[in-house]
Amino acid sequence: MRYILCLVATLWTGMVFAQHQNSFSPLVSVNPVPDDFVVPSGEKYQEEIKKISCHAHHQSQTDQQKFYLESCFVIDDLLHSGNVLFNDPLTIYLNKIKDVVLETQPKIRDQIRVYAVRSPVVNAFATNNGIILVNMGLVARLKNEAQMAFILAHEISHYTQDHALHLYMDDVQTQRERQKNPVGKDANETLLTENKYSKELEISADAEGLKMFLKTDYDINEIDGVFDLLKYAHQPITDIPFDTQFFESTYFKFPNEYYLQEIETSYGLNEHNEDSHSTHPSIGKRREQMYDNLKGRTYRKLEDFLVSEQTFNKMKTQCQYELSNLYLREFNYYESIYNSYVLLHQESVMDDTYLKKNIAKALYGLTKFRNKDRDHETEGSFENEDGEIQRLYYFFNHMKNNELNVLALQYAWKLMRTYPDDDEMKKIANDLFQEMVDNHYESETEFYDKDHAEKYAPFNSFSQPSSTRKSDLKKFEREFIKYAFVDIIKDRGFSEAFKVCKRKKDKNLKADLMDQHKTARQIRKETKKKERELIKKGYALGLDKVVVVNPYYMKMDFRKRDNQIDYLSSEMSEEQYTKWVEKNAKAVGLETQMLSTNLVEYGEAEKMNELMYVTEWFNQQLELEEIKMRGFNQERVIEIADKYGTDHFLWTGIVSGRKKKSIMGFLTFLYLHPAYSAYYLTHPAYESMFFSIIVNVRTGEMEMTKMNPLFEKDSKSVVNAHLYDTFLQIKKRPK
Amino acid sequence: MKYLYTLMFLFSFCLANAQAPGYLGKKTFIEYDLFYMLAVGGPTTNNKMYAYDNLGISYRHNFTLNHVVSRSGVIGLGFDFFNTGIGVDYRDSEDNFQSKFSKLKVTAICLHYDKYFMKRGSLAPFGFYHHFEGKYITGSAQEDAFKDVVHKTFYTGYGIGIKKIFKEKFFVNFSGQVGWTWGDRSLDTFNDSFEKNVQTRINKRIYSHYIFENNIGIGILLF
Repeated sequence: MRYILCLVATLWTGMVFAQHQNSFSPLVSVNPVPDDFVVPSGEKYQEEIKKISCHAHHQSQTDQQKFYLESCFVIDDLLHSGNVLFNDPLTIYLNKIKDVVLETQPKIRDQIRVYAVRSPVVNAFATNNGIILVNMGLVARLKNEAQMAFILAHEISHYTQDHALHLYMDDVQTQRERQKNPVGKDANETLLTENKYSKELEISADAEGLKMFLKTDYDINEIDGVFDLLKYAHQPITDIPFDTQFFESTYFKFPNEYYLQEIETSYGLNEHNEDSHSTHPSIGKRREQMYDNLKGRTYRKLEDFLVSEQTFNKMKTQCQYELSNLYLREFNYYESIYNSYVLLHQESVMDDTYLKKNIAKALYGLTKFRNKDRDHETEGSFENEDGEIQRLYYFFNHMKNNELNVLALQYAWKLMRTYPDDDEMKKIANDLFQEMVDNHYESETEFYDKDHAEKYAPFNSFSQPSSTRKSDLKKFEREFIKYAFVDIIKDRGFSEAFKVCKRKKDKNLKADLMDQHKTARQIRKETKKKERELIKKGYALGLDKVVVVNPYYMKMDFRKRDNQIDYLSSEMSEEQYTKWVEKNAKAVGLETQMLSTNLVEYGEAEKMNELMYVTEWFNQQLELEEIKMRGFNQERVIEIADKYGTDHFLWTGIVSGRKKKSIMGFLTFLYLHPAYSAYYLTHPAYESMFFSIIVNVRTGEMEMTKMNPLFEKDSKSVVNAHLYDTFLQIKKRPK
Repeated sequence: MKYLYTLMFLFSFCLANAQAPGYLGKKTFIEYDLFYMLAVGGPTTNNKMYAYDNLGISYRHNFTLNHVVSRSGVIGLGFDFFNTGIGVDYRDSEDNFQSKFSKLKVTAICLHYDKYFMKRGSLAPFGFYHHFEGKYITGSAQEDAFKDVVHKTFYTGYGIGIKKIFKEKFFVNFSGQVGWTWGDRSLDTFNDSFEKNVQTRINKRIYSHYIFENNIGIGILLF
């Protein structure tokens, strides 16, 4: 018995370990929160402008101030977007590589901070204040640490040589010259001049980066690999053949015509393409320049890895897995499917559940967009692609809407059957079922079961036909979709799901029919009546608690070109607005939980992660509201809702700006009301917009959407009045 | 007593609708408005006789007690008073033609409803509003010869205005208003009775006083 117990214990431990090894979790930020995320942008700006030389020309000083102002706020917006991670394993690893690159330059080493960015784009960039941001899309495609080291060296050079400022000043100068002499240069010429300077800076950063890189023990040959990486940056992480069999089963086979037999071999981007309209030199030029710089040099010991090969491989795999989800977030469903497909075909798969779920989500997204005739937003043509991914594009390009819906449902249903406790998959499968019944098939009788398939299906694959007659083959090719549910048609709940969806469809149709009897005038009248009621009575949500996400305030000047933003004033107003939100909620007895980047303190990395998930989810909701599709990462948002004890999240803010006064307005007032015309003349005119949106994160429903244009100044009283009114409506119980 | 009942009835629905935020919960306020207008069609208080030849300005004072009844509505009860003058031509008991000036004291009980422009972001009691008003006006001539004549009439008016808050408690009000005073204004100096003659003169004066007015007001939020 003792041995059995020991064996069980060992097996159990092994299982737990195996589970741990096989589960993928996305990277998140870890405490402590760095200064870059906590210090207000205004304070950073005050520090930055100390760099401006007092001996500089007055115009130059003004330009530099403007540059620092804009850059501080724009960079902080990016840092607070939730896409930039800190103290996570990838960021720590990247900083270690940076330390190796700057081993001999401790002063600069301390100034540079590297952060990982949740983006699938192959890119890294440096800011003027010493922050280097590295996208996950780049890390996922690197071959080794040496390549990363060269990229960091290049970016560090941009910082040490103050390229961002120089580029801005050059840009401003060019624009100014163009304004002074509008006939001298056209817009195209100005752009070419700006791009030329930008390219010079890139070449300079390559040269300086190389000097830095040569001081390390990294392999110099890997620099060539960096240019190769740029050449193939538009392609997926690996180029492996896509086979439609991936989506097939014993009886469900796609016709041959869905499979692209020949693809265009990928040679990457043309290295010597015309680059006059680009901010970066062509890859070929950069490569040649690099070879020139390396001429006559002798090399020391060459290493691909100096920090850790194991960590590199782990981080690369991590980023490759992240990509599947990041592509989903950007509605790039084909890329997401292919990325997951590639990872599922690797020798060791870290988490196949995660990858399969991503594929199911991508198919779900494609189906929803297709059924709403909005596929042009998410799908591209196979002709614009190169490499093996062309086959995947071709496969989906040729698939009809009904076939895609059936495939997506079949895939999601099978996953739901494998993971019965997965709520998200259950909801996706149910929604896909409804989509299918609403748009394509109403009854299970339209599909074949296993008995029929075994009796009549005369082949295993269209590509390998048996001796079956050609006419039979054609018939089965036409009917292939009817075999989609052979394996699952007898599943518990499958047949019932048809009935439930049909009932729902009939109910909706009935309601639509009733609406059809109404004249356009009646519908307009009813809508107006509802709007009037809402304005008059307001909402009555009956809530006791809400989570307020990132209260927002933007001050602008509508009188100036591009509606210039007053960054400093906006930041101060945002701080004030956050206080007013809390004060007014308290006044009506509504409990609030603030989730704001402005309030995050050094030990609150968890809040930053929560903000990342909530913001990402909300942006998806806004995009997907029209097609009535559920956003992804719903489970994480629900976890956050459970933590704070409310499903209701509030997004609120104000955009306000000074506007031009109307002479006609003044004259009208002068005639009708001389006293008010004096007031009108002496007070500046403003226009503002107050918004409040309450979303139930569990149902995804927007329960309150208030957009109030305010034709007056956003004074404390006006803002408070609207906030108080909003909270009163949130608090008031429905009758 | 019936006036009290009417008032109680009017204010009862204020309490019935709880979805009235007012200004941060404050819903009741008092207001003083000074209305001014060109004195056309009659003398002002200080004119001894007709003011047709002179440009004069007439004033009206108005005090109101207001209550926010909904997100866009305010009702108010007010009291108006102003002094002006009337000139009356009449035949005395000896059939001699007489022309006399009299000071005219006008008071009114007013009831108004302000409807705020919610589509322009106004929220009662501040911002842009439409003003609907009804008055019960009493005008009495002060000259001994006319003292027994008291003219009573109704008025309905519409205005448009804007209220702006300052110092969290006070507000200024700018508005313009047009109105119509009810009653017979057809005049036959030679055939009408003395009383009818005076009544018509008073009505005409009140009518021309109220027909178009501008206003600057100030108020304070109470609770």
